[in-house]
This record gives sequence, structure tokens and C-alpha cells, in this order.
Amino acid sequence: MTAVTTTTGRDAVHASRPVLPGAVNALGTVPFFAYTAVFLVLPTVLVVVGAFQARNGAFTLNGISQLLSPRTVDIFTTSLWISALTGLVGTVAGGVIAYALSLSPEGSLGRRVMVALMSVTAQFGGVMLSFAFIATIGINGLVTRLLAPFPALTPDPGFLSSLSGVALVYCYFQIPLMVIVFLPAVEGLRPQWREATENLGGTSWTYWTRVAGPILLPSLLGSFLLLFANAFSAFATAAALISQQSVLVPLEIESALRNENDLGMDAYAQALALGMILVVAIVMALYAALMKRAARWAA
Amino acid sequence: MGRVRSRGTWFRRIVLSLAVVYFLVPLVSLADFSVRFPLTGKVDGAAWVALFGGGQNDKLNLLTEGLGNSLVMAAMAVVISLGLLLPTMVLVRLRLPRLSKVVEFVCLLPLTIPAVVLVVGLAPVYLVISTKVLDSNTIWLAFAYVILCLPYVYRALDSGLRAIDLRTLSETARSFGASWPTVLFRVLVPNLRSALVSSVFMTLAVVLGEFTFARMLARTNLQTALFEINLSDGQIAAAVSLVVLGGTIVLLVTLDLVVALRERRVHSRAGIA
Amino acid sequence: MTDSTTPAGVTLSHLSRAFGKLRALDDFSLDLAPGELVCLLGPSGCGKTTALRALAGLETVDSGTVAVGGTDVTRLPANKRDMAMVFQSYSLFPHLTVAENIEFALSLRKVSRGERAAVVGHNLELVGLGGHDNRYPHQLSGGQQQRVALARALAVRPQVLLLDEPLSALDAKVRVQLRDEIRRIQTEVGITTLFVTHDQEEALVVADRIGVMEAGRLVQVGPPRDIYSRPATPFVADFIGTTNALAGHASDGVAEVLGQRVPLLPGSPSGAVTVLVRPESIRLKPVDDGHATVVNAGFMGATTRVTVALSDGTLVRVQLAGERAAELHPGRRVMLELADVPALARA
Repeated sequence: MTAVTTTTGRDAVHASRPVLPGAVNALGTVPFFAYTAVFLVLPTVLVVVGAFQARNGAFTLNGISQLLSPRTVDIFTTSLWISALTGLVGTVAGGVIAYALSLSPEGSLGRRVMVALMSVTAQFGGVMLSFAFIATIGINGLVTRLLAPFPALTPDPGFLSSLSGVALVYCYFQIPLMVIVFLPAVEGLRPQWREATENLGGTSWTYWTRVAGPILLPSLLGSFLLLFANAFSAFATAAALISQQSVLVPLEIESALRNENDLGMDAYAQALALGMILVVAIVMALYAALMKRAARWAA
Repeated sequence: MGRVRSRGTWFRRIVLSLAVVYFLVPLVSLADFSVRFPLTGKVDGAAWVALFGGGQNDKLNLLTEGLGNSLVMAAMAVVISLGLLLPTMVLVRLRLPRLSKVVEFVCLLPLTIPAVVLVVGLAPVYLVISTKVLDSNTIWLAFAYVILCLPYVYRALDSGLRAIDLRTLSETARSFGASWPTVLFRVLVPNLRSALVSSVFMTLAVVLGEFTFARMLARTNLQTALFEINLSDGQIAAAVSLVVLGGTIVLLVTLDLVVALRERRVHSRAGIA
Repeated sequence: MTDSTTPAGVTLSHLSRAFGKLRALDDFSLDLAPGELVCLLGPSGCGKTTALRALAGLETVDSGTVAVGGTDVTRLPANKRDMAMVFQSYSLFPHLTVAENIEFALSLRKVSRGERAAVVGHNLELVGLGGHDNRYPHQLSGGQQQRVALARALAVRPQVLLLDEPLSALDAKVRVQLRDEIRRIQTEVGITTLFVTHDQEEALVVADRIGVMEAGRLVQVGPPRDIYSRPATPFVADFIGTTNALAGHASDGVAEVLGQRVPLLPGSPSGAVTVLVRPESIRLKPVDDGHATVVNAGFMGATTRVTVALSDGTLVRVQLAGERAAELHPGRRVMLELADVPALARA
């Protein structure tokens, strides 16, 4: 309670003004914690508990057993696979763009506009993004029409509602997200490191493999994990592109929630959600471990 | 050395140009799509006329309802998130530093819990809200949207509060006899203006783009309205998307440039002094 | 393990380099004798860093040649020149420990694995950081980081050592300490060194010779004593040390200032001139009919700094040995006596 003691000393000038004791200060945080308890903590607890609870409140393993059924495992595999793939593409392409951006003069107009553009597109995921791609490479899309004279290049009409189509659209927000989260890391590369390497007798190859590479590696892997979690959680984009079957976990959750009252659906939506929580928790634990490792030499 | 530098310049130009093209093509396509009749490919401004021509039909009513709800919820989310977070963060920094890690953890938590997961747990909560506490009006979703905005608002305020010497500012104001509300509104808020602007903006962007909660809890907001309209009239959906996306980009870029220009002015003034 | 490098001479001849309109180097020529420490001194933007980077190969020149040990290296890339550089800051690799930073440099210079540990240990001892092998750069103070950078540069036993404002990011106290140590180590190792700085005191203490630069040109080169006491141009006189500008009249190499005769340095004009007089070349004599008045006097420890006002209002700074502040209280009338030391005059 050092803070309080110092304040007492300073406020002593205003003898008439009573000083708030620690407990009263703590009361000030009640609205915040109460609000987040109702709208953040409670729903999370309801998911975890609900995964083991039937409609009537009785304990059930129905949700968990469905979660482990071959069909659901398949859906999870697809989701993990598409997250990893778009995460990888985003990491590579976004990494290159971030590096190119870091080469342009700091504070220049072009760079600022580019960063602003990236931060908007990173948040684009969703219904409108899907429309934009339907307008581009859908049946009547602009690119589809332009490519019509070359049948070999023309996108398949069903492409966008296929998994590869969804993956392509995901890249549209994965790449800019990578640029945004990775830019600070490449901006942190000091020109002195390259010059010191050259000066000591190293080549560009030496610089990239032994200096810049190892320095960037933790944030590169960390960014990949963030992208992975981002794609894994995405719902709106997929919902707007794929209307028929539930091939991804978020879509399956939607249909489970919609058919909650059907026979045999007890606790299924909650179990799926719990599965997602576990996946994201593992990803975030890896992320934290990675950052901790990097902190060994990063101030 | 000179050779290396020009190679770097070309690399940069080519990569950035490709990136710009890749990110602009879908927007251009959206514009094209909105003015082309799907079957014949004829240019036709019907969607735009329908949108801004002042006519009335079911689609437009749905859109108006969705947009109206989204705007009201955005306003509510701004008020609630700032009203909740700003006093709490100031208080924690000044008096309860030991709680700062907890507050940070709670605020960043929504980043790690997918919205589709949260909504599964929110469904029973909203069941209670719509039957026992309030009603089933869409706008009450704003309470949940505050949670989605929490990480962004927290980060904006955090960097804003880091940039000012909160303790000295508030103690100075207090020593001149200011009450806590005066400190908050007349000393801190003006100094946090750019942090507040950016958190308001992030909240707007999140709420106007939200689809998951509204869709799963069967409410009508801008995005679910667009989703429905697209099933029957792709052109109108494309036109509205373009307006929203283009508007967001222009707004954000402008905002960023205004901040950049002001910074530059401050810097050059400091330079002269 | 010996410290014997093969000190090589350096010849920079007629270097020119323009960045757009700015001429960073303008027909710049400088020789460094083997084992010599030369300081390039000048205000920021005078081109001193460009000269050093041109020698390192980190900057191309538009014209002119760079030779090391008699070999023309103008076209050689930085990594083929046998040099090592200490930057102003941030040059240590953050992901490597102190020892790994030095080993990295040794591996690039093809020093065998078996030898490296001994070289690392020896050079860390040399800079006074023995036992810090396993620290990461961010765990060290600024001064320690610069010591490691110096150890790393010396470890590769380069022909030439380049120091680019190595002390300017440090606290005053550490700066003085490390400055003296750089000089000690450089003498001990006997390596040819180019030291760039904007701090005239640093240059005066450390250098065998100082080259003063102005707008891409070398205006004067010489031993510190010469640069200080026999400045070639008013710019050099102004830049190094403090000077008083006193009005006078010059003819035949002698100027009349304050009613006294002062010998002038070569290059001084005749006629009505301004004579540049060092504060320590003036003595004060308290007399009641003196032509100047003490404005203030400050005790600085070993010396006393006094400001006096002439009858026309000109302020003159004077530096006296010992404690004289008490006797020269403000308002005291004094006489100025100029020492018989040659001074520079400008028109």
C-alpha cells in the first residue's frame, strides 16, 4: 500500500479532503469486473460446463462422444489444416511485404497509407469480403469475365464454395494481418547489424542466416501462431461462402446451435466450442513460450 | 553498395505494387459487380438508384433496420466501453498498480476466445436478458460487442496513458483543487484525445462489421441484413459493401494522415524551440 | 596470443561524394601512418562519418581512391576490406551473448574453433570485461556494450580500426573513462585507427593528429597542440576551445589589441581585424582605474572562470589558474593583460 501512503503525505495539504483507503479504491473497479464477469467469464464457464450437461441439467458425455466421432474429427482436421495453410501463406507473403515496407522511408506518405490500408484489410474478414471475392472470381466476377477467352485459366464456378476457394479468401485478411503484426519486428532490425556483419567480413547470406534470421525467428513463428488462431476462429467469411455443408468447426457450431433441441444434440455445440478453446489455448501457450524464449535476449 | 541499394529499391517497388494490386482488385470488382446485370452483363445502375433514389421495398427496409441497429449499437458500445475502461484504467494506474496485470489479462482475453465460442455461452445469457431482464431487441447485443472491442480499446488507451505522465498530471490538478471528475474530463481526456479517437474508431469498425453474434443469436444488424439481401439481390449487397468498405478505408487513412500531420507539426515546432 | 597486428598505413586521396546537392566529401585527402590514431573532428553534417564509411567500404565515393598498406581497395566491398568498426550504438547482435558476438566475428575471419575461446577471453580482459562472456547485450550498460564492441573489433586483428562516434551515446563520466581507455588500448595494440567525433575535448585528448572538417573539406590537420594553439582558420579557432573576438589593428604580423601588441599567426590579414584570443591567454590585474569591469566570477576547482565587460560593452571570457573568485567580485575594475602567445586574426 505504498501508493496510498505517498498520497496521504502529498494530500496532507488539503486536510479537509479525506483520502480514499485501499478498499474504497478497489470498489472503483467493481463495475469493470462485474461487467466482464457477466459477458465474458460467465459465457466461457457456460461453454465449459455445458459441454458436460444435457438439456435437463443432468451430466452427459454425449457432447464429448460426438466431438470424438469420426465426422467431427474430420471437421476439426479440415479446420486445422486450412488454418495452418493460410497461416503459412500469410506468414510468407505478409513477411515479404512487411520487409519491403520497412525498406521504404520511415514516415513517408506511401508507407503510412499502405499501413493504414493493411490494418483495414486485416479486419475485412467477413460477409463483405466474401461478396468482394464473389464479384472477382465468382460466376459473374470481373476476373472471371476477363479470363473468359482463356478457358484454362477461368476459375471453376464452384471454386469459391470449395475449401481451396475459402483458403484463398482467408489469405486476403491473413496477409495484411501478418504485415501489421510483423512490421514492428522488421523495423527493429538495425542497419548497424548489417553493416557490422559486412565490416567483420560477412556476406548478405551471413547476415540473413546468422543475424537477421535468428533475430526474426521468434516473432515470425509467433506471428504464424496468431494467424493460425485467426483463421481457426473465422466464421463470417466461411458462412457467406459455404452454404450447404458444415466443413469447418465454426460452421458446425452454428448448425449444432440451431438444432440444439433435436434429439442427440445435447451438449454438442458446447463440446465443439470447448474443442476450439483447447486448440486456441494450446496455440496461445506455444506463443507465450516462444515470447518468453525471445525475451531471453530481447530487452 | 549503389548496386545493392537499387536492387533493394526495385524489390521494394515490385512487392508493394503487387500487394496494392492484390488488395485493390476485389474492391474494383465489387464496384464493377454493383453496376452489372448478372445474366446479360449489361451496365446498369439499378442497385445504386434503389439505394439512393429514395424508393421503398422490403430489401431496403431490412437494410435500413440492420444499419440502424448497427449504428445504435456502435454508439452504445463506444459509451459503455470507454465509460467502463477509462476510469478503471486510470484508477488502477494511480492507486492499484497490482491489479494492472489482471485488468490487462481480462481485456486481452477476448482475443483468444473465438467469437463463435463466446456466442455459444452467450446464448443462454441472452435468453435470460430477452425474457427476464429486458427484451429481445437487437440493440442489447451491444453489451456483448463491448467485450469484442475490449482488447482494441484497452490497447489504444494503454498506449495513450503511457504517453502522458498520468501521476504528475492528476496530482498537479488535484493540488490546484480539482475534483476527480474534473481531473478526468478536463485534464486527462484532452490529453488522451488521439487514443480516444482511435478507440472509438476501432469500436465502430468492430461493431459495423460484426456478423457472428447477430447471425447465431438470430438478430438483425448490418451484416446479417447484407447476408440476407445477397441471397436475392447480389448487386445491392455489392453496392452497400463497397460503400462500407471504401468508407472505412478512406476514413482510416484520413485519420492516420491527420494524426501524422499533427505529429509532424508538433515535432517541427519542438525543433525550432 | 600476441597483440601484434600488422599496422598498415592508410591513404585517402581526393575523395568526393555528393548526396543530391549536399557535398559530403569534397576533394578530401588524408594519410594515416601505421599505428597512428587520427581524429576526424567537425560539426554534424561536415562529412566526417562519410569519410570513415568510405574507408570502411560502407559508402561508395564518386571519385578518389582509398589505399590500405599500399594496396588500392577503392573497389573492394566492405566485407573484403580488413577493417573493424565500432559504431555509435546498437552494433552488437542482440541474440548473441558477449562471447558469441566475438566468436561470430572470429568465425567470419576464419579463426579456427580451438583458438576462438582464448581470443575472446584475452580481448574481454583487454577492455576490462573479463567474466562477462555469457551476458546478453541488453544486460549490459551502454559503456559496457561499447567495450564489447571494441573487444570484438580488436579480436579480428584488423589492419585498421574504425571508431564512429563510439562515445557520444554515453554519460559524461563513462565517456571520459572509456575515452582514456581507448587511447591506452590503442597504444598497447598499436593499431592504425580513425576516430570520428564531434567532441573537441575528446579529439584533443585521444588523437596523435586531428583533422578538422568543414563542409566536406579537411581544413587543417596536425597534432592537437598545433590545432589548438595555431589554428589555420577562424573556423578551427572557433570550433576548438573557446575564443574571445577582440577588435584590433594589424600590420606586419603584429596586432594592436586593447593597447597591447599581440603576435599574429601566419594567414592573418592586415588592417582592421578581429583577433581571436583564448581565455587562458588573458591575465587580470585588479586596479581601480582598470578599463574593464568584472561581471561574474565562477570557481571551477582547479581554475576560475571570469567574465569581464570592456568599456564598449564587449564581454570577454578569461580563465585563471587557482582560486581567484573572491578577489574578483562583480563590479571590480580590472586591467587585461594579453600573454605573448601568437593569435589568429580575421578581417
